[in-house]
Amino acid sequence: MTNDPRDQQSGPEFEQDLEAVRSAWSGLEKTEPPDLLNQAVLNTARRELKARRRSRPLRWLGGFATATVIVLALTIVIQHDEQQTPPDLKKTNGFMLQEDAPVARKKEMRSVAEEMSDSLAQPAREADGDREADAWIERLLLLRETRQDEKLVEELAAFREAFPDYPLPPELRP
Amino acid sequence: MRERSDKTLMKAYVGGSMEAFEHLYNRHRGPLYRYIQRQVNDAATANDLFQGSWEKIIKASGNYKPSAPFSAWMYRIAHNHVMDYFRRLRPVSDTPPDEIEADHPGPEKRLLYEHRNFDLREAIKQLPLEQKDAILLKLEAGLDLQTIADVTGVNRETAKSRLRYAVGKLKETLREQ
Repeated sequence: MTNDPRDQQSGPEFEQDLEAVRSAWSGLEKTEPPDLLNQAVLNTARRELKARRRSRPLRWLGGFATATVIVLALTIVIQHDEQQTPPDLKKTNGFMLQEDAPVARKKEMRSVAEEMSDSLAQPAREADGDREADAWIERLLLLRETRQDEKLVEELAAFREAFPDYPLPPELRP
Repeated sequence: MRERSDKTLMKAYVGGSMEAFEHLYNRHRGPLYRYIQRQVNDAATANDLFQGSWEKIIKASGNYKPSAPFSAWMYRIAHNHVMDYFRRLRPVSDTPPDEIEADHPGPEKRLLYEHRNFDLREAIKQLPLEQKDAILLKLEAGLDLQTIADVTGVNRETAKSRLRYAVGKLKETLREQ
């Protein structure tokens, strides 16, 4: 990560100074986190894995339930369509019905399919988190402008919980 | 045996391997700890911030995209967490951070700078927050200039200027020793 040639643009003097600082730096003691802290972090990672494993079957169940509802809805639509056609009409105006029924069914099926695609588009919507973060930042900037410092600090903490790796604009940095 | 990359380890952890996480953690814990510790200069706070950073990294691991280098992603989370801590200590001000004490240390600080036994560690403590952050990302984390800019959310020129000031001041300290 340190071999980017553009890093050399700062000039040889800077590079020499950096090297001198780096060399002195290597003489500083290499402090490591205490063992208890290591254990605490590893336990957190273990707990998170367990929590994810527990939530996996539920996610599968959710998908299964959605699929079942869609199949049921389609079945009802088709049956309903068939029941609504009186037998007499079928005889007298059979030609028209043969033309219209599939069209109506197609419409119904399309609307069900649209609903289905909406539910499938959920993860894509979640990926729109960037837009949500930007809107949140706008609100934070407004709080800053109106000098609501306490509220701003609270909101910033909440923002960080939701978006730990999202960059903040310079105005919101300490 | 070939070392597994950070990305591979992270993917394995997200897929359920605790052993992969342990490898990843052992690889990064030291530099990340020192990056934090040298910013706050207080063991208890450093421990809290270190643990908090890892909690966030673990929580966000499901959203990690392997297209980005792991260390840049990890240090961005840690950087944001540390900056939040400083923000709680110091309310958001109207003065751009780079202008605060960057080149005009007060009399107390000047005295400290003039002290002959003033060692490198002490000199780092005296650096303005942004310069300290940049030099620690360079020396402890080993990040390049562009990644430092990405992690700290500034452009390349700003990152370079922070690094230059920090190196200049530290070099001056070394010359005095």
